[in-house]
Amino acid sequence: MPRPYPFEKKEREKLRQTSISFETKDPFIFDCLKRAQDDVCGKSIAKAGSKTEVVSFTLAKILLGVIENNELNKSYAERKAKFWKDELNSESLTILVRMARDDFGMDVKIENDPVLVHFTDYLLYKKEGTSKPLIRTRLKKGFIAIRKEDLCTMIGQAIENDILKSIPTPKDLPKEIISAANEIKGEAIPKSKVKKRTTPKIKSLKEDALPPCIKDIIISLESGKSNHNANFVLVTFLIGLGLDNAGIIDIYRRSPKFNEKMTETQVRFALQRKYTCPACKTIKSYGLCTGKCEKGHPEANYIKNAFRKKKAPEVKNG
Amino acid sequence: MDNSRVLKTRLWLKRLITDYYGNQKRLEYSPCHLSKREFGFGSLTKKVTFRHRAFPNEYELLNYLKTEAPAHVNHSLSRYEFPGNEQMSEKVRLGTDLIFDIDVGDLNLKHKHDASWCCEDCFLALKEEITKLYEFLQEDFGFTKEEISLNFSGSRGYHARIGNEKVAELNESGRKEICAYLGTGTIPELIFEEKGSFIGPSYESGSLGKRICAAAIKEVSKSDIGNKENLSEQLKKGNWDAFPKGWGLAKIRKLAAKGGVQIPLDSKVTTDPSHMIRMANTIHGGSLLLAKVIKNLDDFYPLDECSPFGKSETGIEFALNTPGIRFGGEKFGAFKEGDSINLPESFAAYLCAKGRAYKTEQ
Repeated sequence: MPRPYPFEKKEREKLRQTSISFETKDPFIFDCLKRAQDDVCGKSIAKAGSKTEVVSFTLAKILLGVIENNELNKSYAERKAKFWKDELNSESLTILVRMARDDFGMDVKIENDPVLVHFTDYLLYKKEGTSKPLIRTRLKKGFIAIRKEDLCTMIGQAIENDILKSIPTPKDLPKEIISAANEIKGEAIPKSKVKKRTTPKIKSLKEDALPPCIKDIIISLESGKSNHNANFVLVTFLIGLGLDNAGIIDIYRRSPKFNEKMTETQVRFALQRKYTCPACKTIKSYGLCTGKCEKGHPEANYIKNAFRKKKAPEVKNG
Repeated sequence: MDNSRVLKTRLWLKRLITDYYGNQKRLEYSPCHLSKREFGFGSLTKKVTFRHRAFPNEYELLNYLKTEAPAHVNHSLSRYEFPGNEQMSEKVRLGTDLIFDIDVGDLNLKHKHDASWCCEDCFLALKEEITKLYEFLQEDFGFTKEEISLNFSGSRGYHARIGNEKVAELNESGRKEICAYLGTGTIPELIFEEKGSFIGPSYESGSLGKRICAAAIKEVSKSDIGNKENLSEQLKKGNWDAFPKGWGLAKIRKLAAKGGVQIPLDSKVTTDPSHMIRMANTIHGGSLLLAKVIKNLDDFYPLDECSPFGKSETGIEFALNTPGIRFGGEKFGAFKEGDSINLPESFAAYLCAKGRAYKTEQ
């Protein structure tokens, strides 16, 4: 009996038929989320049952969808593809051929000993730089004779492509996933890869230039109703604009639940971890987007509003 | 150049194009997924004057051709979600057809006429190349005859289109590999030196290797090398060290290349997803011939079959010396600059569109 792999269609189908939710507080889903978090961060994870593997693989892709970092996506996809490619080496040729056909739609067949793969699949999934160029293959009637290792390499590449293609654009996510994604942001994204900020430092906040979401977060803060995500967006937004700690704490002072010591600690923590303000797409997924802006990031919208030059009135001649 | 004669000739050519599209009841050919294609149109002096046009169906496209009578009708090789968007990045590519283009200019023929002219031998040489490509596509790449559609380019070349959904997914590097396989770089990739030995294909090396091997053996049999039979047997086994002393790598490669296994493709057409190509069965403004879909390649001679115009006599005056040629089943010429003559409308239009003659009053 071959072992099930989380990327297989039949495994994903099984997952679709089961009902898993964070609301039930089932420890299974929390374990899977932790596993997915570790997996995205590149930590070693122990082997687990097939259901755990499928669920954590799916959650890992959702986390990547929230984080929106291409390099992290790429490194995760490469790492998983390599891991499964190595595992596949021990599978029989019949299983590999079935997998190539059923899970990745490759036109592949076994004829006598060598595996024959259609040249389009070979070109789509061969590993650049290591696999033979087409010109050096034995191409006949559209099919190329390859070895079992070559097929494993091609499936590996197909897994990588498939992961990158299937990272979702999530919306209305449970808060557990959002906070797991935020933790990864601080931990897994290499510091050197974080874009250097070009945002100018501001001395005071021009409230009329704030994008609608931030305005509404401040209103909810003033009524003492702002939640964790809203606070995270607000503090990272203010840090991103370069407002000093005192300026940030002054904004939080408007809350009826204000606690100076706790606010100070949290602002310092956010600064130390170099958390950045999420893009509009992510803010939308938090359910905090309340208007239509031109740019895709709240900081960019603030800068645009704050530094926009007033147009000179049009002068009509004659 | 006499500007008024040029203008008068262009007006006549434009009228012919307008009449041709005006009489069309339906399009004889339309690319698959027409509504997902970007269209570009040209004038008598420029192949593409504007692009980024999209049409929801054949009817709208035909209406446009009837109204505007463009001298060139091109469509994108790619299918897009939004073909009418002007920025390429905003079109959202869905897939790209696999098309091969062979042009007489890439054949390096040394015929005794100027480069803009295409004689019967040029067309013959072109046909040999497209026949070779047709064989490669079937034998090596496994496409069926139904999947391969050949058409005349309308002037000096042929196009081969592959109607297979899977190839539409291929990216640029995959397409470059196909071009390398068919043409440029084949020989140096397959016959090379390693650790003092010549490595090359054998009869067991797959379609292309076997073909190169057979081509080399054929050339060996024609040459004055001693012990040809033994050498041929050794080459079949892939022993390229069997050549006698004095045969270096360059000489061996040259001999293998003589067998004509490389196809002179315009690889940009095959590899560039933003490329546009002439729509089959439309008029080429530089020849006033149709880019006709070929039903029987063996009997196909473009100048006999591709003019949509009639045989009524039309007066022209030659602007350039023009060699004799077969056109519409008849032999004409040669002609000298200044010759004033009445010719069938189809041939007169061909010569005028090629810039070799002016329209006169007769």
